[in-house]
Amino acid sequence: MGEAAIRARGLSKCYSVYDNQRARLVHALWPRHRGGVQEIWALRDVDFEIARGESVGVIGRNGGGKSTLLEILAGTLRPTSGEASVAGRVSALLELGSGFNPEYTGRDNVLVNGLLMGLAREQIMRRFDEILDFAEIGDAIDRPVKTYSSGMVMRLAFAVQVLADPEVLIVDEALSVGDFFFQQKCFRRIRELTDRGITLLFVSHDMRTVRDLCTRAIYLRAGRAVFVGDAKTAVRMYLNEEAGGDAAPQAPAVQAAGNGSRALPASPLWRGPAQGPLLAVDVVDAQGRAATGGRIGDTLTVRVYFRASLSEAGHVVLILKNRYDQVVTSVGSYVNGLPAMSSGGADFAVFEVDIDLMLEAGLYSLKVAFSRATGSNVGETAMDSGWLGPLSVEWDYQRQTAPFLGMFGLPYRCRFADAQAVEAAQ
Amino acid sequence: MSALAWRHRALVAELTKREFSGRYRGSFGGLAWSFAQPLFLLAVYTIAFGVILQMRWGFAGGTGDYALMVFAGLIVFNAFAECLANAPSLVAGNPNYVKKIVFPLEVLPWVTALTAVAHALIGVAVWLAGYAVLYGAPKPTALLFPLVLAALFPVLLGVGWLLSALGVAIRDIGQLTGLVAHALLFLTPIFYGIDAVPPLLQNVLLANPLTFVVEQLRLVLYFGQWPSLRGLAVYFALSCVFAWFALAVFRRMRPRFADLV
Repeated sequence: MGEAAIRARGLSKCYSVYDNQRARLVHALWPRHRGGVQEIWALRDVDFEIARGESVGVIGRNGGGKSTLLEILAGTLRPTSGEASVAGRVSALLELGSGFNPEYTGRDNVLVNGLLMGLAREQIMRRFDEILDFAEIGDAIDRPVKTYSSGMVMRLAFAVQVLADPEVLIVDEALSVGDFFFQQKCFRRIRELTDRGITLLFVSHDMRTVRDLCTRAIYLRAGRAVFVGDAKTAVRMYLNEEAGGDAAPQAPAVQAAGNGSRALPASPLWRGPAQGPLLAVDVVDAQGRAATGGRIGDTLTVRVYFRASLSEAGHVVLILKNRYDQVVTSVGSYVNGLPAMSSGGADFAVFEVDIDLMLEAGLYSLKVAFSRATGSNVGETAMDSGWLGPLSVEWDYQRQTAPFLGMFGLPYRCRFADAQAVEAAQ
Repeated sequence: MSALAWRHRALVAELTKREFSGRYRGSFGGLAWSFAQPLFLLAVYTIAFGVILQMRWGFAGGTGDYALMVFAGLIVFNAFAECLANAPSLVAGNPNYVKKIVFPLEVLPWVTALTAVAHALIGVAVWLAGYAVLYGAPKPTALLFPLVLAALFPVLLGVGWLLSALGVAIRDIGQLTGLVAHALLFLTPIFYGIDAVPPLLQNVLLANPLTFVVEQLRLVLYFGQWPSLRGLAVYFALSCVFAWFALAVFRRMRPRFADLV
């Protein structure tokens, strides 16, 4: 690791919540007086170091401390204890446009923001056209910002921040607003910057982007850095806990199972309670490696570990939903015509479903259920895993011909037909 | 005290320019309002006190002299009142500057104070024009008015720092400043000379920090006399101490702003 660009040592942040106005005032004037004040720790003893030129993701649930961490690093918040240091000019895309004065014109705001970032007037003027070009807001630049749409504000703010030659770029989920094409443009720009060697700290709930953009990641849970390291591992760990997190209690791993040679996977995508019937769900690729997605046409295998006595025999059902919450497909042993399954006398049985990803690129969630049929196409769910994922299906539509366009790749055949034969058949 | 503002001088200049011109942006009158407003108020006060109540300054002078004296007082008062009115919301009213971006909050009172001084300069220009209409060329000592305003300047800054910091924790301050400004308008010798006041109250009025500045400004503008240089120096020193104290309070509370706004 090279020289550290960002360093955090025992970083903690405590928010004070006041019972009333008086407690608030007293505490403001005498910080040591703690009557009527409650403490909420948003960040606790966080340590990490980020080398110059590294791209690091920050992931975790809402309320995990991500924003607090970014705000401290960006300098808008002071830690309660511990220290954070950032070397070089920082550009923080926290809440884009929040530094703008709505009464000023876009032009004035660009100038004031640039000055705030420590640029000289001439430097800003020199880059002005470039900023305008990037923001694509046209003549609106001379109108007050209060007349802008939120997308326009975001475009302009992003343009200012990114074109100011930062050495460290801190990005919150700010980019989730704005239209798709501008988002793409922003990410292209961020990639260019990271290629050029700037340090990136990136917060997102979109695990695919984190894996894509970052080499390392920090996983925050309840204010503590649970994991700092390889981005893929962090993402997997997060998804794992996210899915199983508070729904089902974490069952101790079943070490020896069945005849001793088989065991439940050590860190599956989802783990159920020890009593079953659903014990674990795992998704692996064609090489048998743990996977959370693939490219169109790849085959993923969903492994379902379950335990059910003969009298409890049932069916495994898989349901896939797209990001608009539509059920894309529901398959499993019942619709496949298999008889109800049990694990017999063994500790568990494994049911595998191979799925060819003939789906439009995007994010999907998966639910696995163990059900007993009560009628034709209806059943009673004994247990389900809740929504897991996201599973991502990927494709670079701009550079490669896709095997199909649209939502699904239905099985189909096509050919050049002999015109005369067609006529004859009619 | 001024190091941070100097470092951010380009920002301060830009913000002041916009604060000054932005106030009337979008109105048809534009910059003319910054001349029209003090003139209009002057007309109202002069009619009310000078014409209707027939008030005169201690010496035999006409309504015109009375208007000039009142206006000189108003120039000082308005600068102070403007800072007083804006200060409590400087930080509290800009939560984004506290929480969302890295902003040198300390420079905000500079912007307010400089804007107030800019308005005072316009006031002086209007005053001189009025004097020229009534009596011809202004007295040469009028050129010394910057000295008087300079002595007041640290007070303006100090009010900004102190009230903007306290305003974050105590929201009631915003309500109080309006009352204080109203009281000061009449408890500062603006509509009357200090000599017209009973001796007992004179001491009270002298304790009002604006009184001295108002008197000095009238001295140089109207009476054509030298100001009390020693007095101004002492006043400047004291107001610097006040500003320094205010800044210390501001800096002490600065880390808590994010939790309080």
